Amino acid sequence: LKAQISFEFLIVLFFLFIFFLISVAIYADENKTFMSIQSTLRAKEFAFKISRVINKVYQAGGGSSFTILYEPDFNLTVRGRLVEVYLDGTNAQAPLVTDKVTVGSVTRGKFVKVSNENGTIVMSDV
Amino acid sequence: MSKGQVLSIDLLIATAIFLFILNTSVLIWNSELSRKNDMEARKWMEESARTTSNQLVTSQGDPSDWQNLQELNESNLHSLGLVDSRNMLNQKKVDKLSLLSNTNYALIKRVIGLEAYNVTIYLISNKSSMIFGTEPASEEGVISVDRFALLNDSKVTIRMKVWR
Repeated sequence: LKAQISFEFLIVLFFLFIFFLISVAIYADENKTFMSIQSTLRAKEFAFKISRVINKVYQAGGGSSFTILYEPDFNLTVRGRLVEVYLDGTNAQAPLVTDKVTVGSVTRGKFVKVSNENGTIVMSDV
Repeated sequence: MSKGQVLSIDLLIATAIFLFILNTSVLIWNSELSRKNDMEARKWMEESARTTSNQLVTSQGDPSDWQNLQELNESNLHSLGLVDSRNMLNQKKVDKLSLLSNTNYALIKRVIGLEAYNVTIYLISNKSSMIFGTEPASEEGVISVDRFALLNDSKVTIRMKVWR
C-alpha cells in the first residue's frame, strides 16, 4: 500500500507540475502583453501631454510660452505634424496643428520651455 | 481503494475546475485590457477633435491668406484656420475648405492633425450644411464637438464629427 500511494503521488505531482508550467507560461505571455500595452499607453499619454502644450502655445499666439518636464523615461522627437515618443521598444504619436516646430537642445529629466516665436514653436532647455 | 480515488474522478474534476478558472481569468483579463485600450483611444480622439475645432475658430491659419493659394500642399500650408479674428469666420475660407473637401481631403486631415481619423465639418446656421468630409455611416463611436462663431454677423455653429 505504501508503494502504491507513493507511485500515485508521483503521478499527481507530475500532472500538477505540468499545470504549474502551463500556468506560468500563460502568466508570462499575458504579463508580456500587459507590459507592452502599458508602455504604449504611457508613451501615448506623454506624447499627448507634449502635443497639448505645443498646440495650446501655438493657439495662444506669438510671445506665449509654457514649461514642461521632459520625463527621463521617454525619448521624444517631433516629425512633421506629429510628436513621437519612444518607450521600452514601443512608440506612440500625437498630432500637432502646425508643422512649424523647432526642437533645440532638450535634455531628458530637465524642464523644457515651449515658446511661440512669431508662429514658430521652439523647444529648448530652460 | 485509495488508488482508485486518487487517479480517477477526483483528479479529473479538480483539473477541470482549475482549467475553467484559468481560462475564465485569461478571458476576463483580455477583455478588460481591450476595454481600457478602447477607452483611451476614444479619449485621445476626443482631445484631438477638441484641439482641432479650437484651431479652426481661433486661428487665421498659416499663411493667413491660405484661401488665396493656387495650389495647396504640405510645404505651403502650415496650419489651417477659418477666422479673421477669434470666432469671426471668413466666408472665403469656409468656401475654400468646402471646395477642398473632394480634392484635398487627406491633405486637410493631415494639416488639422486628424490624419488617423475620418472627419466631417458642418456649418450650422438656419439650416445645417456639410462643408467638409463625408457623412459617418452611423453615430456609433462618433465624437461630436461644437464651436460657436459669427459668419457675416450671424451666429453659427461649427460642428466637427470625428470617428475611426
